Amino acid sequence: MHLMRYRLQILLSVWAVIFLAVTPAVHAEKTGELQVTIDHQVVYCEARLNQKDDAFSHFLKDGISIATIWKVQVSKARKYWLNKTIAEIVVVRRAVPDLLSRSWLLVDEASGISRRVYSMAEVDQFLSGLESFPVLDRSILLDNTPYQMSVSVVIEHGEMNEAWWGALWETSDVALKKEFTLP
Amino acid sequence: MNRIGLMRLIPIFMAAVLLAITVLLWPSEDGEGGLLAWVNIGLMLLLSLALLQYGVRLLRERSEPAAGSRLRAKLVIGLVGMLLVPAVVIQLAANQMVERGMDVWFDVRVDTLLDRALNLAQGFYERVETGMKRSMLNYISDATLLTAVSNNLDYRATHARLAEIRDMEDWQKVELFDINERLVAGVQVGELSSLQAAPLSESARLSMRLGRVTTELITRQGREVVVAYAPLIGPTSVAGLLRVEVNLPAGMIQDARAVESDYRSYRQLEHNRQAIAESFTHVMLFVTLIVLLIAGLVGLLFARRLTAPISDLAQALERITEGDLNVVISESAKDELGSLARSFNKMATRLRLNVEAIEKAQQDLTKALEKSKQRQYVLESLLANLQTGVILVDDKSKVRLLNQAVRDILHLPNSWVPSVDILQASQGSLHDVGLFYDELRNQQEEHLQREFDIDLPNGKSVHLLARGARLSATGSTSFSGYLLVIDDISELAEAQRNKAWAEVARRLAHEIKNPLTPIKLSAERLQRRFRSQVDDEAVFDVCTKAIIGQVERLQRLIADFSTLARMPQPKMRDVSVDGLLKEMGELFNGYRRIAVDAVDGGWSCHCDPDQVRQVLINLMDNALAATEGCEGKTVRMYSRVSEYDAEWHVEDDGQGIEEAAVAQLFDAYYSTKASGSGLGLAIAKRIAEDHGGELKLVSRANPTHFCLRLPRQHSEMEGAA
Repeated sequence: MHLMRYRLQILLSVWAVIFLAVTPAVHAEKTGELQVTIDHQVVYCEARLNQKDDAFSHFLKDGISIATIWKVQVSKARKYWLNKTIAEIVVVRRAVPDLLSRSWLLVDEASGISRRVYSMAEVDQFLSGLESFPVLDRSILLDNTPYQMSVSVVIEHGEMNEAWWGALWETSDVALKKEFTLP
Repeated sequence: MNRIGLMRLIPIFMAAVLLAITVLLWPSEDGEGGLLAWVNIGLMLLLSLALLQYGVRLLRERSEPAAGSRLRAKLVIGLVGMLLVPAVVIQLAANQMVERGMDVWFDVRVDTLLDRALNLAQGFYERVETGMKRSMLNYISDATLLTAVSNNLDYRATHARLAEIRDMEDWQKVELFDINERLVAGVQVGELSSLQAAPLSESARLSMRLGRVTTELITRQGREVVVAYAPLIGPTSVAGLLRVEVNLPAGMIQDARAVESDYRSYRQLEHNRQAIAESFTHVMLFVTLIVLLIAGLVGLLFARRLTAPISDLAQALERITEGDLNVVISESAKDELGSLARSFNKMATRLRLNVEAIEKAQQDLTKALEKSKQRQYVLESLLANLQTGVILVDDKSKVRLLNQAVRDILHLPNSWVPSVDILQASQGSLHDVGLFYDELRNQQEEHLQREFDIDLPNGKSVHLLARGARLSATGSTSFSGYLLVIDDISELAEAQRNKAWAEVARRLAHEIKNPLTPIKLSAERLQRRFRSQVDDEAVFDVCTKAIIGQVERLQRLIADFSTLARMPQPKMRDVSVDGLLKEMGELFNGYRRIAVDAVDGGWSCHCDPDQVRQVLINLMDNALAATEGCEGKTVRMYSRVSEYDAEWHVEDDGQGIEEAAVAQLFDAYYSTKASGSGLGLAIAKRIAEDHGGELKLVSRANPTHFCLRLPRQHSEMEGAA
């Protein structure tokens, strides 16, 4: 019995090593740009996805809604340990097409503000970028201390999975990082 | 490679196939399988590793595996394989069906139909918007409205104009704003909904800024409303804004929205077509893998239940093979295996009983053999230590047994071993033994006893007493033959002879000794009284001296006879070996031809010194007599001492002893000298034998060499004798 348990442990260990070793390989990341701007009070995030021109319109013209979920995280960079998270903000932006009126309803889920636009350029701009997005108050950060801002973006097509298990296997489509210190 | 080798490769082959399938189904970068795809990958990896591990173990396995494990593995693999084939077939068929279903669902006709339906719905909206825009263009330069927004408001006229426009265009609401976005006037169908007008939207501002008619669609209280904006263009610039609303018909809108919803759903499904197929594949694969896993586990449990009795049986057989017969296996199963277990237990019980019986018989046989061996050992010891020779001859004249005493007595050749024919082997000096056996065999009597002398190869002869008996087969033994018992009675015969001679000597001494003394005294008296009266004194002297001398010789003879007849018991004590030698040297120092080699080594011997001295004197007298007239050291005397014996050697360079006389040299009354009694060496030999030693002639001539050997420590038994 002891031998069987030992063999089972070895088998499961080998399986876990192989499985965990290959799983991260599937995270093929797309590119994007991330800038951190800081004024005398607020730390802002300037992020933009480098998408193809028809990346969104391909779905939107068929009436499929698209949402970009931006997860902005500011953490204190540590050398020999995991970074310490200081702030984390999730921004969900969704574009719902109206095929009858050929317009798009842009919804910011965090603020609840929505507007209807009739131009695809506005939709692209709305979905693919955060412009001067305030992340945290500058007073929280220390001078001469390295910080890291990381932005991971998940692009969802169609109805969003609001169920609790939807986040279990959520993989980011774009991951951007930028280190900064207070000027 | 044989069949067993190929069988061992099956798990590895299955693992390789499964790994290949795993690689083929590996989720792509933009794969839609999601978590389920990775769960499937994990399950397949797990199965592959399990098969690979089992296959490697099979290949590396050199010794015999545990009983039943192979059968169990075969059952599990067989069951999984039996399920695997239909599962794969079902999987492939289901995938094909889904592909076909997808082709049907996303048919071009459906696609076209939906496009047309959407176009119809969009066309309705477009017509409404286009109509509104066209109508709006008629009022962008309306004088009444321009006047109203140019700070010359005539409320009644303005209101009437707006109502007129509303009624004419069949709009639900018409509002007028000045350039500062302030509501100047408004009319609507039904009651006034609110006193405060809604702020202008971006489209409205855009309309004013660009001077264009724009429309927008808003949803209000579950109803869709098309709002149109028309700038009121004055002589120089935009002076105000006309905002009108049209409530879209609910039924129409519902249908249009249904079309849009269906179109959206269809397109979404079409976009997710690959993902749907992949999801279906992964779901099916997941179900298949789960079924296989469950089947494997169930098969394992089933195989264990099935092979457990076989494993027990195999282990029990192995224990029986190793000699452990106290094996009982469970008979709980009610099927054929249970029957097999019961039969096996019966067999093991019988085997155990048989073995116990055999062991008991073996123990009895061992005990009997041990007893037989002990009896044989006792018999062999008895025969080996017996001074009497024993020969057992079967009815075919073959010697079946003879003891060491026979060899010692008869000086048998090496060819005399059991199984020789006694008649053929009894040649030469042993001829008499063969004759004795032949006489015993041919006589009618059961027993025979004879005494005879035989000459041994070493020149000596021994006097034997042979007794024989016929052995007949009885109920306890089937052996029949002859038992010959041989005793060397040479010493006994000699002792009897000595005893007879001693008796003769004692009687002679008794009869002769008494008259000798008066004869001698009378002869001496005659010599003293009548010597002077005789005529011839010389003759008289010679006669009387002769009488006296012969009487004295007779007296000495009688004394020797007496000595031989009544040899006294030796008075034993420790005596220096070289001391006796020195005494001899001093006693015979008058003879220059004597050389005594005495070395004071401190050796002692337990003996009667007077008797030993008598022996040595006798030997020296003989040597001197033999060397009379010789020059040089012709008589030599020396001693040798070993751990157990002391030896006195006397050598002389005389004429030696004739070969014929050697055999009788130590016999009583045998002498080569004319004046000898023949008792000297006989007495000397008897003294030596009384001391437990011997007197022997080492060489009869050149030199004549005698050796007296006595044990240094006289044994008690011999001392007691």
